[in-house]
Amino acid sequence: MNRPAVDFRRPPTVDPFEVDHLDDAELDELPFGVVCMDAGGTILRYNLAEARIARLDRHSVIGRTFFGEVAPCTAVPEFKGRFDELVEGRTEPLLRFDFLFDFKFGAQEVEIEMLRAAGTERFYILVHRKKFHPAREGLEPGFPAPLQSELDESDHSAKVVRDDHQQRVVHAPYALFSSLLRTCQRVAPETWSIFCREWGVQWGRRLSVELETRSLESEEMALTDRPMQEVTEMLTAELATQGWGQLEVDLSDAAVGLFRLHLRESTVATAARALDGRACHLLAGMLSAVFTHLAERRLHVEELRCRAQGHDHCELVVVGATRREKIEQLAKEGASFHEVIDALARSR
Amino acid sequence: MSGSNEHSGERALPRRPMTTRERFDPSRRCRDLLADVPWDGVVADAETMSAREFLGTLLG
Repeated sequence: MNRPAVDFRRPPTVDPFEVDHLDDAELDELPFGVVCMDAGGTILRYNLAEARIARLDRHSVIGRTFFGEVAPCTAVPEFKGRFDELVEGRTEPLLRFDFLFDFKFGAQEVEIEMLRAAGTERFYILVHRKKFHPAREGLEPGFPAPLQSELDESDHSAKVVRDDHQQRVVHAPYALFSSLLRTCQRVAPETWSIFCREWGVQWGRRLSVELETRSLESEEMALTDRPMQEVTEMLTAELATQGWGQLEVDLSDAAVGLFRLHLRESTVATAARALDGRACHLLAGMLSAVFTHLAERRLHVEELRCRAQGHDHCELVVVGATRREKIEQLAKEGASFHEVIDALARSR
Repeated sequence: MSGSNEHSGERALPRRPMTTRERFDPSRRCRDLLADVPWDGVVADAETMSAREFLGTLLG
């Protein structure tokens, strides 16, 4: 069977010594910050969570010195002193300690794991945020970490567009998706659904990190420790803010092992009206990754009805990964939600 | 707070299983609610099953 290679592996806990074996995409799925440096403190790798929480663009950070340029507040004996001892081999290979990061937009209480990757000259700092505070007053001007605009002054002259968290963004009309679809139909029409789902899964993993970060910043709690209602509200608000449409999560059939999702005014479906088929594979992939993250097990989201087919709104269903083939077949056959429930009950 | 009172010799009653409505109440903690969804299709329903069936389903 021709199925995209979607790997949902995301260990709830990570052995610090394993991070060096993770590729950049896997580092980006971790909900805590990861900074990799050489012995001189030059940054080699910088993951998505760290970039998001430090409000720095990793492309501006990689190649700079951590202690000198990016995080001057760490150039103190309690932090850099430990790093130097680690580099010189005068400590255990893994150090754990608490620290206070000073940014111009706020201070962050963190727990640091600092280690040397076995047999290499790569050094990792894992940053686990514990508490967020307002910016401390009375600090030397050069002590807190610089803002993105200070770190990379070319941003302003090049008119780089960034959001409130200094992530670089593109504001484009939704017709971008129409042109993407038309291109796909012309070049490789059979790949549209597979490509979009895989793209969505990748993006959904990053969306999960974004939601976790917001939850930490606002409530100092992991998403899964918060009430389900708050989590679904965060998810729907984020999707609406990003312009994907209005999502509603219906838990009323949870007892039979599925959630029903209603997506109103789906941007992708609107852009893909010419498709004459289900269009929201991108959203289905995104939501698969987000619900997989929340449930800490593989889940699958399938679109049953799409606005692109002329329905009032898009309807999707969340099921366990073991039911994926069944639900894909039912969706292909045009089964309604209630037919899906009946079919799943029969196949139990 | 537990309902037991060790000093008076009273014993706490075992907690009754949650009803379906309680298990999937959106005010429940996300992790707990999602862990109770029978994603693979094995349904444990305290409202319609006998206690033996219910516990058998939960415990496999």
